[in-house]
Amino acid sequence: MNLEFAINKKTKGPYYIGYAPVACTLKIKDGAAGSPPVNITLSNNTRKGGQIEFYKDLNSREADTLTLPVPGDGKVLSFFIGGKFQAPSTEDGDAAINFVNNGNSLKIVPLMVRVRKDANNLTPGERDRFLSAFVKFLESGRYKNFLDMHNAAASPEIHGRSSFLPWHRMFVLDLERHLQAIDASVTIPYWNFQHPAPNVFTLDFMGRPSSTGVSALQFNSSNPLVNWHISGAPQLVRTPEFDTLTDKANVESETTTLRRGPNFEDFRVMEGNPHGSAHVSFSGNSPITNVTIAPRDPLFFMLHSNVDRLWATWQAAGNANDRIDPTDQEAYFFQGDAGAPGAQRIGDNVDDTLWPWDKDKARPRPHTAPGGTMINSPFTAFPGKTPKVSDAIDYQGKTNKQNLLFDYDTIPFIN
Amino acid sequence: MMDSATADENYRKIFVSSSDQDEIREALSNVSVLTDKESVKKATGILKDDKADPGLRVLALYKLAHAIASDKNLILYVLRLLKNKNLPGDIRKAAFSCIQSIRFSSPVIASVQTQITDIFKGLVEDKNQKIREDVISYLAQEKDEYVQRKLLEGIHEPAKALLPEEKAIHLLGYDIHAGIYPILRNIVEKSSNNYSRMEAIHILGSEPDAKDLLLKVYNNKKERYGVRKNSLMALKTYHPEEFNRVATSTAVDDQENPNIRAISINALAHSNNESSYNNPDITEHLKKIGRKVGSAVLKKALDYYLTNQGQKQN
Amino acid sequence: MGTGAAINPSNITDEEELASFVDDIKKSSGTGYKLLPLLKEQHPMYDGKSANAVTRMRGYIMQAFWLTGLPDEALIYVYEELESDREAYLVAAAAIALRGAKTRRFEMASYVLTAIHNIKFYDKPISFERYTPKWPLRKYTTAIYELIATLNWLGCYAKPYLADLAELKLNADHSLGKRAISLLGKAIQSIGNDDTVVDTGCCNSENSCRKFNPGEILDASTLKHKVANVCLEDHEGQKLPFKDAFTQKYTLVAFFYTRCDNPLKCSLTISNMANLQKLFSEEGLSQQINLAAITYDSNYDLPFRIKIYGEARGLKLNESARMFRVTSGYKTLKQYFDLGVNYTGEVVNRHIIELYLLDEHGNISMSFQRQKIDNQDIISHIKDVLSTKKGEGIKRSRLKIAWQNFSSIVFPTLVLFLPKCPLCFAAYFSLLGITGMQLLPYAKFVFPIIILIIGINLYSIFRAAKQRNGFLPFYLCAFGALLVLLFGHFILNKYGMYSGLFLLFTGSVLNSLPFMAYLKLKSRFFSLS
Repeated sequence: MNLEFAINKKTKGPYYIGYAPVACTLKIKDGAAGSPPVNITLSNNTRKGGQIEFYKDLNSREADTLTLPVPGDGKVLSFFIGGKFQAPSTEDGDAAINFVNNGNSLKIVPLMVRVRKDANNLTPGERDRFLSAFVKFLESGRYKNFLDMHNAAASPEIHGRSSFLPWHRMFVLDLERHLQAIDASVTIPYWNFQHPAPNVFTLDFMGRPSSTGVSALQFNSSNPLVNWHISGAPQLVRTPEFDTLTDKANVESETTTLRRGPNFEDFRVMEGNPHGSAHVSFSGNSPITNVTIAPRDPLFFMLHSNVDRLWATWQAAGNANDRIDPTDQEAYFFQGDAGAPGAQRIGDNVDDTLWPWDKDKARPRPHTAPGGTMINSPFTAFPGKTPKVSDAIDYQGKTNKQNLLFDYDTIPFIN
Repeated sequence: MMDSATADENYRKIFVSSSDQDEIREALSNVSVLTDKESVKKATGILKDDKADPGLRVLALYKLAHAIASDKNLILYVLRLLKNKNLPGDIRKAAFSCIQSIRFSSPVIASVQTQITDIFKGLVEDKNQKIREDVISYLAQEKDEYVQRKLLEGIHEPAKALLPEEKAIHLLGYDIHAGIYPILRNIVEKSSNNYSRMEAIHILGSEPDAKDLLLKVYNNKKERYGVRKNSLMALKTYHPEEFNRVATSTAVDDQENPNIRAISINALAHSNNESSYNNPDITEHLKKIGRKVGSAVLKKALDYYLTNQGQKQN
Repeated sequence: MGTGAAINPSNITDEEELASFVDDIKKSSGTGYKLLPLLKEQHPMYDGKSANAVTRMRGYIMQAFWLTGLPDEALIYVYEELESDREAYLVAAAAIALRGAKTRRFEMASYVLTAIHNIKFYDKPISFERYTPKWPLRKYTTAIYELIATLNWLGCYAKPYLADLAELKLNADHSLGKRAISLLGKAIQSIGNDDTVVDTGCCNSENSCRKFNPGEILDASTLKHKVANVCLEDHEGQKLPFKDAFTQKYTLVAFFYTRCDNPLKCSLTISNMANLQKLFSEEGLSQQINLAAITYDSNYDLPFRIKIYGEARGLKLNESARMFRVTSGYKTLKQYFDLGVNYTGEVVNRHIIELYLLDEHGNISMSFQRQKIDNQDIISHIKDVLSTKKGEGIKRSRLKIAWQNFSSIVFPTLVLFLPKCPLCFAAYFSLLGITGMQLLPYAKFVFPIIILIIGINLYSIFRAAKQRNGFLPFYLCAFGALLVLLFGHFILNKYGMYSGLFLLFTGSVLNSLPFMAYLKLKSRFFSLS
């Protein structure tokens, strides 16, 4: 029996999923017309590595195994799979689905349950793959676009306004997808600045400041970040003003952040603390403390991955879909688009497109729109080339059935 | 057990209603960022009270960050705190940190940008070293011409230096248009300050004419490790062909310092250039020496290079 | 100290000398033209200076125009800063300089408004009290304050922009401080209350904002001699000489570099090239014209860097749209284009916006410098050029220029000398020895012909105004024509008519002069007056 499996219409791997369910299909390629359905049981092939859950459809609960009556005549059967919460992969392809019929394994499809993890808890392999991909991306010359998207010219467009969180969600996603084009197993881990993270500020990871000279960051010779050299910039400096071994950054507690509410306008106060406070938890000569050059430090994206995780956590704590439905003011206050009467400045309304991916250079946007359109993922066409504010809100696709294909290790998909 | 939202609300109430200093301090330490009118008003009162305990004022400043970010007048007040040399250092440093932080979140910051720049520039000769360094760093990162002038003056006339030489060079390095390359060359070739030389060689990379100097420094095996490392990385960014040549040579040089070798191999493996990351000569040599390598960092670099053979760059 | 007056501006090399020179020049009005040579980026005094030093130097020169007077020829430099700069010091200087202009113009308000939008997020405290101010300052100004002051000065000339200013005052993006809003409010009131009647058709820039300049058309041998063998490398690493890259088709060439930190210059230029590429395609011009961008920073801008830069700004790189660096012969290329750029070491410290249209032989056909690229304008000029045939096109445009010159002299001469009235006939016949005044029976048929000839003359000068020497010749001719008509036909007065003829002739001659000669004459006339 020739079984064809596809995720989001992709029939060939490698495959990567998060916790949010993705659409799959099964088909008996050599099925004959009139043949009866064949029962095929899907299960995890191994107890090690990433674990998968199965959904008959999006109205069903997840299950560890699923038996499906696959049409014998070659017609396609749809179902869904998602990564099991708290059981993500640590290596590429360490998860697998076993397709069994009458005790015989017809097919084993390896995949990866790929989620954003706490940088403090990464395995050495995960850490090094992330750093390698990041450095290779820097070497390609394309990282300059990201610096240009978050410089002095961009700052009025992306800070101090309602769309701060949606914009930075897309910014992090854009980089992550570029890294995944180099190494598909990589995600952007988050620096959980509201807890001590002693494993992050090490010679093998984000580096430690030298005790002499200008306190430039030191890395082990085998650390890919030894290659981190931003053209036209001096040596990278980042001197913490907190004890990285025992303390969190100089920010409020996670509990304080997450209890803000009830709506988005209350929550987004976190742009100041903990977001801004995390940035300035280092000495004044550290680029990460300066809004116009902060992305010169690779820690920037890990900081923002955590900012985004906090938003996602807050969203998940809402009632039903009220914090993830873009049409709900609790999820995002400014509805409509910039053309509507009483609308906010363009970029702040839920139906506005996001600069620079929309290439909009008309005032009041910045004069140039570097970086081009949003990169696609091989597994989804969402959010498309010119994302809107609304596209950033329901990142798991609970209301619009389109997810951005990233998840956090601490946030399950609750159907 | 009280949930955190209730606890916070209790602390807020205590803060607003109490007149006991210890109670106020404890409440302020435990409450989250102040956003309601009453708390903001009280905290602002503490902040503006010259007679209040400096530690309490700092705490109030910290908790008022959100209110300050949306209020031009409060931002200007915080700037005055920073400017006031008679105030305790902690208050002034907290003021600086507050300004830095609200640049990430304040919708009104642009409207007071000139006042910020003016006050920062007035502090470049401040007696408080931390404040002096912080404002100079900020201005240098913004490529401010006044601060560049002062830093250069300090390099030429050490008696007028506001910062140690290596820090001045480091900060001047934020502006490729600063016209400092002749000074940097001189420092690399003649200075006995190796920290300055490390900074200078890193920045010199962006000067095309410095290629020969970078090669000379790198090829000198007696040169300090940090200086050699920086020259190699500068070659990689600005002179990729020369980098490829010297790094390849180093990678297969069993007599070379293991750390320098590890960095070379690491750099080759992460290069954008296929002839660097997929070099058959290097591969063959590294395979040969693989098991005999004693240095852990060199082994790791070697393993990475060999494992990633043939991986396509994007 | 008075040492500045003794300095020859061409010999200035250092900042102190420059400051001294400017301080001295500032003491007298009408001396602005002495500062003009210092504004060209190619001036040796900028060589080797940091970008900040260049900013300071140019700003210090520019703000002096307020006291010395701003020559028309300097307007293009001032407009350039207002339109495309993000350095508060320079923008403030340009705003101050504008107030030294003899004539206010409507277009100035547009530039000032653009500058406010450009600088409002990047404003800084500034002082021109001395060349190198020390902090803390006793008092300071800012670019925004100076721009608002210039709006005040413009008065009624800023009236068309009142709605924009009112919107600015609302400060929806919170970019303006309290004082700026207050000043703006007062300026709006003052502008609104300025009821001076101004001819809205009057006093726009004549040639201070020349756009496309017909280039010096070189023949093939000159090209070979100069730049043909300069070596280029494109974004894919393909190496080729200039003559292979820029012949066989017309090419629009822009200059840029990836390390430019002014988003209003290089980044915008390349973004505009990408838009032009789309427009070429829509207008069916893609087969006839190539696009090219050459970096000023060839050592750093390796092929992969320029490729990423172009693609990130929407340029679709292919055989017809390429980006280049120069691998050898950069000096020659720089001379050939007379590039508006200077360096500190090998790093650019200052450059202008510059675009060139090369013909199919690689000769410079047109140049566009210092102003923001207007794609529609460029397309329309290119269409004009391309609509002429190869080879014949060049001859035809030479013929066109010759005809323009001819018609601008012949018609007024005819007008001048053809008898237009009984008095003229009398004068003619008296010259020829015929005495006595006679009313010739065909005089009433000659006069309409004369009107027609005057009309043709006026039309031809009007059309040429934008491309040649501006509208002053046209106004002279128009006024002259009016006088001829009035005093030659309605109120017979020979002195009035002769005055009209004189103006007609003068206007026509001025129109037909080469541009530089016209400028020299004009500046001499104004400096003498």
